[in-house]
Amino acid sequence: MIKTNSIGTAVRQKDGPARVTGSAKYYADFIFPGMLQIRILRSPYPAADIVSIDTSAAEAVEGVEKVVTYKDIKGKNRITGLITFPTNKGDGWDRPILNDEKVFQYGDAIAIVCATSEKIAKAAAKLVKVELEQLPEYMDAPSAMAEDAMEIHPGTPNVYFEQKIVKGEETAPIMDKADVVLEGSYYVQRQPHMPIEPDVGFAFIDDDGKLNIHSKSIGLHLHAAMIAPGLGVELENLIMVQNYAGGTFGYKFSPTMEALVGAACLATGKPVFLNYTWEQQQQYTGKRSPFFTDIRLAASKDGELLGMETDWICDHGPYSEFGDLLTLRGAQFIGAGYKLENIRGLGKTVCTNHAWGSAFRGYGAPETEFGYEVMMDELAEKIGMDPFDLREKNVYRESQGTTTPTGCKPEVYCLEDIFTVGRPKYEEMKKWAAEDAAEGFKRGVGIAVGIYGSGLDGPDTAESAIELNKDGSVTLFNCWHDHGQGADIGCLGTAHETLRPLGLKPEQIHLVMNDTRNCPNGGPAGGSRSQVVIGNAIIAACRSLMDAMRKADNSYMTYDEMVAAGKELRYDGKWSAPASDCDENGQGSPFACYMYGLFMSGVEVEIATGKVQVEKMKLIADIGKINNKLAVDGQLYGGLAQGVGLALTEDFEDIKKHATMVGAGFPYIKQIPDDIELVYVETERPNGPHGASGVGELPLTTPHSSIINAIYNACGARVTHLPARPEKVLAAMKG
Amino acid sequence: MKRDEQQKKLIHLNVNGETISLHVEPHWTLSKVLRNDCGHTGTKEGCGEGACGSCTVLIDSVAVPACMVLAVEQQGKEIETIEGLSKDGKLHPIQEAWLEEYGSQCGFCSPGMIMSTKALLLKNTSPSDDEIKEAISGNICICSNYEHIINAVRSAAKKMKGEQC
Repeated sequence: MIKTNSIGTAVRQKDGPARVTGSAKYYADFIFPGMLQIRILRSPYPAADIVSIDTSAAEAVEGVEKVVTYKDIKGKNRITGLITFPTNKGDGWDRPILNDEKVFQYGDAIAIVCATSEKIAKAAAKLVKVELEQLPEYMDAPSAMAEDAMEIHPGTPNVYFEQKIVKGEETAPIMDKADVVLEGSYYVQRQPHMPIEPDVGFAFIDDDGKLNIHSKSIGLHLHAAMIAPGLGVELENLIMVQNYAGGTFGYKFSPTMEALVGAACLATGKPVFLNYTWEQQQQYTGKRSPFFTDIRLAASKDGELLGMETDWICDHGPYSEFGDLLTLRGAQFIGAGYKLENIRGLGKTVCTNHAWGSAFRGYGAPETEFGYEVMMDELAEKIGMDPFDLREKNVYRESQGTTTPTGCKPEVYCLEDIFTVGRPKYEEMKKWAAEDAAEGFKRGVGIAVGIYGSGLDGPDTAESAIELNKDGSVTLFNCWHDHGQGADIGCLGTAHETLRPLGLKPEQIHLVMNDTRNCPNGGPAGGSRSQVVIGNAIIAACRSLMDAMRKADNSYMTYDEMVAAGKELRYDGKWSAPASDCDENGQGSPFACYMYGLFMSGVEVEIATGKVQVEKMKLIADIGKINNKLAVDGQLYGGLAQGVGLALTEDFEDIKKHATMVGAGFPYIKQIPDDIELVYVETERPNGPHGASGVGELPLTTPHSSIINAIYNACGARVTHLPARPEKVLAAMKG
Repeated sequence: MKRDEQQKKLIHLNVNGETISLHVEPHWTLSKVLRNDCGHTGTKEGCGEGACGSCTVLIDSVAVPACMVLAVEQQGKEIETIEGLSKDGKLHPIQEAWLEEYGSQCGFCSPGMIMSTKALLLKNTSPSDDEIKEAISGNICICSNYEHIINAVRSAAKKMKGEQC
């Protein structure tokens, strides 16, 4: 623990009272008179040519200000993925703000009706006449990869990016000689994020003539750069702000409605407000990209892993932004956690007409780690070893100098400790499973190792700033975006610990957050990077301030003394991760810090129906030193619960049926186990701020693998394609 | 638009002990009216179809998703929203418990969850864990912070009993 008595227990979220009294203003709570209400005219087809758009009847309706189409957009009318890899066969300019020539997925935005009331906008939207000519629809990767499939974006092949992994020796001879070779195919589904608050925000032009966009964006500077050229706005004339967000879980790593309100505001010159319906939230925001993964694993009969061959396919929907990055995760994380000296594999990113792929908590981990964590159990069974013993035998060890799949040493070797701490917990779980379940039910226990990097690849960078105030307090300026995970407490805890020599109380540290006009670029809140990368930038800023304040006798100047000495009052801090991007073979040292976990699930399966209830979960987590215990506990509880949904019920494959919370399999409280135990192994991270790593992604790396393994342990049903709905478990049970 | 005006009906709602008179259309839901016409935006609206519980308010002490009832039907009933809980800058014991136990992550579900908790504790001062889960089973927390939420309800029950002693 970071030794700060004032954080962790005594101090809650700085904005906690606002959240429990209802006074916290989420974007739907901003009701300004005179703001135009927007209705989006959406494509009813996943793929079509746009023949014509006639807005005249809608524009004739009283109260309609304007119907905005692509013709009104002054810029390139495209949202760019910005960091498109050089080997990507697309150019990254594939996502229209308002569709012009074609529609590429269900719900694509064709026109924006701007009116004085929501009711008028809704009625007028029905009068916009759009003529569409349907095209073949490629609703999953295999169909889009078929030889006769048309190019969804003409000129770019549907398979538009490939990533190899080449580590160690050739694997083919190893496969030929090994005692045991296992093969398996696995599928992780198109998981929807399902925030309770549907996407929402507004735009206006301020007195300086700048376009201001307020939204749930968790990457304000990134999104500004992604949408500015499309809108035809200079970056310095675009201000972006994030306020309270009712959950995002990564879908807001992609811009969603930002460019739409921007376009409508620019076209009308008036403030505009847009609140998606919950159905629209499901159908027109990004989803977890489904992964099809094939694995061949060679092992000795005593359980030593000898080599692995992998092929993974990422269905990224029609829009490519970050699809290459996500595909790279397959090279980085398939097989992570174990000594695997020899790996060959190839990942492919595929364009389809289903919902586009956006970040989702775990980003690549639950997709790529699911299969091999199930295969480890299959191997254990094959060679007659306990799944725990097999894993423990193969985990990263300092004594062996084990390297990750990308060929670098992990920043700390903590998995042995995790397994030592985990063993009695596992025995406890096995004892529970051995007890009789109620008649008609069977119990089982499953485990899985989960690992993820804390940061974006390579020299991930953040900036922060701090200012000394007249009353001796300080103000911290940061873009540490908040999905709801506790960005405020992250900033506060990190700064408070660093500023300890000044003796400031937490309430003397003020936060100005998430506003591109006032706060430096911290980078997006994704990949559990904020605590590590922004945290280090906060430390750098705080130290600069303290260096300036420090007197010869090591005491610190007051505000008045600083002013009298003619010293600056505001200081910047910047930090870049000491890491390197992976090469064409997937080799490199991409992350400065990782998170490690051992998941255990105890399930009961109803034999007659195949219905699974997760009764117990344990997570032995090493996320470095903990900044705020309650915030971290909350993150882990929440991620585990999302793992239950991922394993058993959640999906967005059927565009209509899965457009509601119940239809998409949202788990309610009774589906979440009462008995969740969190155990921390706090290995200090050399590059972590005060020794901390990240946290948010860890609990959704492999909880689903542990549940799937537990189902097999209970009833012999091996589910390899998620979600494991009852009918699937039942069918697997019958073999 | 004139037709809409004619359709509007004058109603009197009792919200947090105050009578509010306003004109509403017959199909307007209570959640829309509370949010748009009464300024009580503490009542959050998520799914708009009764599935998430974030708009839960108390109507005559019963927890109800406000998006599923019509405003015109609520005359003569006592409506309580999250805004009615804290008084003079002092948090209600349930809100205190929520803060202490970290019941809110993103916080979007909190007002509805807190109102469901109030309804529970009004009729059952010592709920079991199963009773707590049953009472909040219509409220979903996307952050799935249920461990902390259940701790908060347990703590709130203790606080409220202490106050009544």
